[in-house]
Amino acid sequence: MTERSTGYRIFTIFNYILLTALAVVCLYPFYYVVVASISNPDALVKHHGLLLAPLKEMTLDGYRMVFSNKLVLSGYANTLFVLFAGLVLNLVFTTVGAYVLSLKDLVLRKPLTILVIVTMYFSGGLVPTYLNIKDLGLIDNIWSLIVPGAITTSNLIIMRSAFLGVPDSLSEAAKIDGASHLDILFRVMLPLVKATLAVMVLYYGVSHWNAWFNASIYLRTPSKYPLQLVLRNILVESQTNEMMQDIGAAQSPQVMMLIKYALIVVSSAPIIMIYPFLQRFFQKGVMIGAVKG
Amino acid sequence: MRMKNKLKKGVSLVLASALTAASLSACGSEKKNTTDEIAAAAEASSIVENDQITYPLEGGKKLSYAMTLATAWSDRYDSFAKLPLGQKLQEDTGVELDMVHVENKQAMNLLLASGEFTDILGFNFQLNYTGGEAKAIADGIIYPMSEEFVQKNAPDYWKVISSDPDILRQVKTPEGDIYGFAFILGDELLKTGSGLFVRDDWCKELGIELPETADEYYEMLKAFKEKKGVEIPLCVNSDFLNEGLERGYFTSPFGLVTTDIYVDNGTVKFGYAQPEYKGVLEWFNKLYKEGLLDPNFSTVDKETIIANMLTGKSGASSGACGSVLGTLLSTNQNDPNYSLAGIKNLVAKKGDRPMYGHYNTDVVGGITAITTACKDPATAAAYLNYGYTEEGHMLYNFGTEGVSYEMQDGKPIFTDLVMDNPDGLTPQQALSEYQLAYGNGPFVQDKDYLLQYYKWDAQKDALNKWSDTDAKKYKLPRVTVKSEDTGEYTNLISELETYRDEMTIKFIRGEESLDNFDQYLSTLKSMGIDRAQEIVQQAVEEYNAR
Amino acid sequence: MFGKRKNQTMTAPQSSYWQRLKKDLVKNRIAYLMFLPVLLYYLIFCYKPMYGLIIAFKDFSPAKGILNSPWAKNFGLNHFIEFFGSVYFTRLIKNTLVISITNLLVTFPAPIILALLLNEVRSKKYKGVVQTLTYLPHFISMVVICSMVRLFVGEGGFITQILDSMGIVDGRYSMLSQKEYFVPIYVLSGLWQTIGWSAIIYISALSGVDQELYEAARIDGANRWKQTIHITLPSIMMTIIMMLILRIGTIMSVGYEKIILLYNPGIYETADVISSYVYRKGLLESNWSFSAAVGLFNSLINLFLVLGANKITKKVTDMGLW
Repeated sequence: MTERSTGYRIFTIFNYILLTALAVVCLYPFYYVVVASISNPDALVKHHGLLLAPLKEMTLDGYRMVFSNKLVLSGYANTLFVLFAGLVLNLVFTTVGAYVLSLKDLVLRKPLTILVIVTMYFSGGLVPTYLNIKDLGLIDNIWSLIVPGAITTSNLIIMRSAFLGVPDSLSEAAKIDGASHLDILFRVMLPLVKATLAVMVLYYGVSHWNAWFNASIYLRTPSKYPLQLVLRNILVESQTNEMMQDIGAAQSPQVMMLIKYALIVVSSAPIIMIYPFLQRFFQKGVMIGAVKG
Repeated sequence: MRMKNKLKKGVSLVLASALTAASLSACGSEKKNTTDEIAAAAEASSIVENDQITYPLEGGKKLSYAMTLATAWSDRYDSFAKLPLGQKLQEDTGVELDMVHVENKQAMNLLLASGEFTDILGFNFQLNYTGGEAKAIADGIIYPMSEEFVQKNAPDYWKVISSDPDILRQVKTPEGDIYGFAFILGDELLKTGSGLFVRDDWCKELGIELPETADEYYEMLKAFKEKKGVEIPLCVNSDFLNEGLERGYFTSPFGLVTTDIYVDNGTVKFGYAQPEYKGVLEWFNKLYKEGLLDPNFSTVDKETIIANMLTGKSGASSGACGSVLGTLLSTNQNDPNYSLAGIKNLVAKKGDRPMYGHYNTDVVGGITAITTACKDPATAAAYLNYGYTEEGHMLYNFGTEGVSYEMQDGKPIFTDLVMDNPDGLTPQQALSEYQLAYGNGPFVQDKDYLLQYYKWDAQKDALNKWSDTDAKKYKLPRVTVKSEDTGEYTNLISELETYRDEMTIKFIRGEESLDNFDQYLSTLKSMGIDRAQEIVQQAVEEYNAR
Repeated sequence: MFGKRKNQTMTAPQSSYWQRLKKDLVKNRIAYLMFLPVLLYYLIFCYKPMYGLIIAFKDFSPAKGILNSPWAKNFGLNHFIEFFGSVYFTRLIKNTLVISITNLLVTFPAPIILALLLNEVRSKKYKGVVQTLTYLPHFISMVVICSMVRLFVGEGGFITQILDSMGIVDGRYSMLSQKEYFVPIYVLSGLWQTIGWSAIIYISALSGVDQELYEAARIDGANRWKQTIHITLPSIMMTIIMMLILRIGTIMSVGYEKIILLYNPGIYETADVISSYVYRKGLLESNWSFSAAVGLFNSLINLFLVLGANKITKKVTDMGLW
């Protein structure tokens, strides 16, 4: 079964078929959402079964209604700010923290690692966390969405393992040349773990993009809301009527359905785009090339 | 906290004459005050004269006010005070509002946890705060109002709540304090909002009268199935079914009031633990076996029910007057061969009155309360009193005359600005800028508001039929479980209801034989239903003693 | 950690630990200084609020605050007693474990296999497209994904129909109304949702494999399969083990969101888990202390599992989280 053997050829064909099938299956939900978001809402509510093409008459009402909410645009702006400011903070804190915890001769390495890992399992809960943010004066401040999330511990651990995967000889050599820790981190290590850094950008970026909960408890002004909170509010608008009488939703359920699907497209399309850009960091041989270069 | 208040009161009595109006009313208002002292207080506070508050209040008062943000307007305004409604309220009352808006009830709980109380706050303590309003007073959040305090400082509110001993009981805690300014349903019609409905055009076509008894209902479903070839005659899901059983749509024919908790001549009963429940389950089991009830009732979602009712796959269902019945009627409004009619809750014999139905207590949902942080409760009370005056009533229910409504034949009619908004806002969005009756607030809800909201005659007709029950007789009042019992009580209830929901589906689907119904009852007993019943019984007795 | 365990020469006597530490603090002061902001972050945002854990032992009331709320009955253990004493306790634990472990067994290896299969694809373009498409479901909200799942396995849904034609299920009924199908539906839909997203970390790890190793293996006459076993897998083994240990540490945490979107009372027997039970209870009353107690219980078990998993992998493979 060498690369030109029949066995490998059969495998390759099988592999392509399998991967293509998987891709189609995974595309379907997004396709469904896009198609549903431009379908006639009355037809949609009566439709039952697989949806393969937009239902007549096609409409862009869903999008029109989403964008008629003035908070959507400010939501985009706020989210982008949180995303970029957050990413800078995340990457600095995570790489520095992970680098130090990867230094094998550090006497305090083990206790510090345990200190970090414990936080994955125990947290004080909502109330003290809220009071903490309040004491720091971050209530109704957009930085309350950024600073408390500076590090996700599991990401720190992934980063740390990437540093540990770099052969010791490289940092030893740099040390002999008189390089400082900062030099080693930025000149030697980081170029070698580009692929993991790309994963960090993706993990942190997506979590910033999707976050809404902290905003819902820390912010008091709608114009500071991030996109996801705005979108959530549009969705639950029909349910805000806490009254038992159910005087009637703000919108009929079919229109709400349409809005729901348009919202998903509006909210997820931009973030989905970032992956193809990050993919080039996953090309084979990136790291080795860097080592040699 | 209460101890402290009492101490403070002692001091205030001594100092009363020397104090200014504001600070006096802040602490000189406990229920043990003698009439003399209250008279002195009222005199000192220039707000109330001859049991009447003259609006706008003078002296440039200011109040901080916390409420959850309403999504109906939050994309256009960032504060309640900036809404046309908020502006008008401030202008009319002469009180400047300093709003603190939180996103949701969780954020409100955190606000309370952080001790940042505003002068007044709107919140549903009953639902979102363990132990309800009584606990919030004990915890030192809500400023407890005595009857005298309300009489003096909020005379119009007092008129409303003292007009009916039932309402007065509902706005009081077990300790006898008035906890806040309640949202009160101003008409029996407003207390009902859901029930059964059927395709009456099919009934007509098949020559069947609208069913009243369980047997007639069964025959109708059967005719739908056999003569019309309807796939799923009765389409409900487990939520709808549970709601239907708790609201008594199907229980009267079998001698059961409801599966919910109810009061029978002063005795608290858990409907789902009554032997009569067996008859209800047998009937549903029969419907299920004969394919009259949706075979997938345990899994279908609300969207599917709506779709089935719209496409003729089903001919009977249940639900709310607005979001279910209204939606169906509006969606198929252009179809001449489509009509729906509400029917009364089922009974055993034709002409009987259903024992139970969907029925709300007078006081529902959230309340607006004065907090212990308020330095001037008298002004806060005077401000909140406005919603119960004639002008305030119109403002909170209908908005501003000439803008959001016009008077026609002595009745307020909403203008096109709200019902057919030129900027494309939905009626709810547009209304939310001018009035609060779409939600909840410190006033009495007016039925004319609701009737305008219901667009279709079939909705109004259904409402009349659904409200024709004896529910008032059996309805569990707005009781508060003692706070030391709440943990135990919710624990019991969540286990009991888990078991009930599970068994109800199994009995109906025949997975569990109804011969085992007695075993079901005894399991409920062993799980502690008697203790749960005892806790509610105590709460009811305490309520009746208020 | 993810490197071989260093061959510590434990020659220095224990008493000199402090001396070693002192020396180290001087020698590596720059490194410690660099870590200081990270340490401060953890202290301020994670450790300072941690006193909140005690609300599990109290009857928390928002207005009283954490410290002033009264202790729960039974020496503060009342909420734990309530939870352990529930008639449903064993069922909840059993369902949580069954769902979680099945999920782990299926959704943990699958992304690794996907990454390996993608690794065999030559065309960069095709590879990129497949990667992007497979990670799409991660971005569709849970509500929408679950409504699709309900549709597919519902009465007349296309999965139900296929299985019906094979005589496995009765097509007239939704598969979600039968308790034996809940776990497979939960797990397989989870696979659909997460396979592409979870594969990313392995794809990134695969990019670091030294291409010269393959060259050498080819010269030695090793075929593709052997190369995968002897070169590819060992090079990403560190990543695999790390992800596995992290996953084992979440075994008790089956989120309620997906469960409540898919289950119904008729199948509580297999579908009701700890979090969904706590969720239903929270609808009756917002009981902060009870959910904190349950959370603490779950955390302890998770931590215990992680410690165990770490120890075992360290013994077997010489690698571990710390």
